Amino acid sequence: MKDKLIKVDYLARVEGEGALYIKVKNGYVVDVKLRIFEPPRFFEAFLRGRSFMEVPDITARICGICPIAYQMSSVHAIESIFGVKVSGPIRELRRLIYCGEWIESHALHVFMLHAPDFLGYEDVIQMAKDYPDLVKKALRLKKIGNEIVKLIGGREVHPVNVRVGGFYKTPRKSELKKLEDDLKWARDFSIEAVRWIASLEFPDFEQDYEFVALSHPNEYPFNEGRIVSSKGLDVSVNEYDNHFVEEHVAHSNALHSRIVQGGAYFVGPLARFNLNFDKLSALSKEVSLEIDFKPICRNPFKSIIARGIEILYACDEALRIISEYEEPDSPYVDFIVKSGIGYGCTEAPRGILYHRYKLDEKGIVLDAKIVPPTSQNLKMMESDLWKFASVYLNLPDDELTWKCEQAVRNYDPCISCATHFLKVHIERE
Amino acid sequence: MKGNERKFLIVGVGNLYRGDDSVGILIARYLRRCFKESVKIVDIDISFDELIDIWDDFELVILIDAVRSGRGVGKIYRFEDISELLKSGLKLISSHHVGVVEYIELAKMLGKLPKRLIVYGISGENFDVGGFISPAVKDACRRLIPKIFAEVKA
Repeated sequence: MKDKLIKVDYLARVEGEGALYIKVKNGYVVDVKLRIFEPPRFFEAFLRGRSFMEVPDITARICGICPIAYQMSSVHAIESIFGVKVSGPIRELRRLIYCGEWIESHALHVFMLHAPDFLGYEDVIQMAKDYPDLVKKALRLKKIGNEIVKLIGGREVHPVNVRVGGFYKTPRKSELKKLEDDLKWARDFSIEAVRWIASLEFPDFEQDYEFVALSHPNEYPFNEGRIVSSKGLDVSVNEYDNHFVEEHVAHSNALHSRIVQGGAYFVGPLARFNLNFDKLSALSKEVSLEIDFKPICRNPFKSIIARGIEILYACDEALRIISEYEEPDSPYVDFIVKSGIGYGCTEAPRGILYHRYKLDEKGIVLDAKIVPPTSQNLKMMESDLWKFASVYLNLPDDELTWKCEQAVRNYDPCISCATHFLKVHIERE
Repeated sequence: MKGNERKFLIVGVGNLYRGDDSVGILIARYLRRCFKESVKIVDIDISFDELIDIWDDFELVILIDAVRSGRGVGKIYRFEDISELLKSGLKLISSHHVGVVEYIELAKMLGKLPKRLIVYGISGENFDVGGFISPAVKDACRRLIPKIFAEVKA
């Protein structure tokens, strides 16, 4: 077989700037690099010296797609230092705003960024020619997610209403009720969408992944739980640094994470689905079983189905929260500022997002560590490409390049977050 | 004309923190003083799909953004025929997943374009994070503002 180099100089349909490079020699893949050239953003460094009160607003700026995740991981980390326990309606509102973020982020990725891969379109614009109704409905779905974030967060991008202890202002019951009709439409559409997604053609590809997600005894995880894996890891959030390490690799401005005693691991919707299936709502479980999508699914291309199920779950959960909501007496819980080290880990749309802060007695940040889900998946993405390209080497270069890009998009990578990524090169020598 | 149709909307697109990419926002901010409710700024704080959801309610939408044309810093491009904009290969600057031109194309595909859409592109050269606006782009702002007044008053 001819040696070759598959290069994608600028990966499309991912957030941020990166490239993919695969070198094939004598019929074997000899090198795979996901090059992340989005410049580093130094958030951890410029959080130092800032007040704990500014942290949720500063970290929200890391990502325009998942600001809630950054706000939630930061407030939980800081609250763990102050010994604050948020419960009742405020805790429920935190789940609700996260439902909004999952709906908006997943709708964008499923329909506008990933579905064109499965249908053979260059992008959503070409897809919209043949599927105008689907694209219109997807935009409406995304907007409904935005509306939730806007109502609770103050605005849909980089919301400003989240604070340590809760919110600056909580919504009236009547304001939440206004979202109900749209959410019922969104729930119906997501059932239709999940059935449609399940009918797509999926490349035959599996690996023996270690899936990692939060796990909570009573609920599908958003904000709280232990960190568990499909290979038996079960640790509390404050033990994260003992079990996961970040490493610098020369070709990437984003660090790569791995499990200390293991290697690459897989976070995100497929990991959450595999590890928390029993915590899904009855309707989400019923629809999953109807399309024969059950844990453990090891085909990363089927992440798009897990994302669809999570949209359905988020609509269902949002409706539950709204129907049970009672306005709290105060929008936040009072606390006393203390020094210490705090740990937070929540489920961003793309997977677990870990934050650690060290504060002095006035609540000033002395040190911060942020590990976004895309950094945690980068090593797994490269591992998928090694195996996937090896199996599909006989495909013509343009088709192999396409499939490799699709394999990267399985993870919905957010390169802007991770540098805090895509172009493909396949070189055959 | 639909009952709720409003006359015009000015949309400034860009990123204040990326040098010449701030030009759309700076012009929109200036025009907001005169037109208030008829100006919308699409920056890193608002998503584009929200915009195409509302703009078919307007008779005229004027969109201003920086472009990377590779020549003539400060040159002002005007497109009223969207297919010409698409053919021009000019890249409006965007930090979003889906670029401005792509969103315009998507809106066209979905039948969601306003009755008239005019796109003004100002050619820039410096799009670095934390960079300053180029003098030639600043000068282009001064030339473009009276043109926009003329468009909305026509």
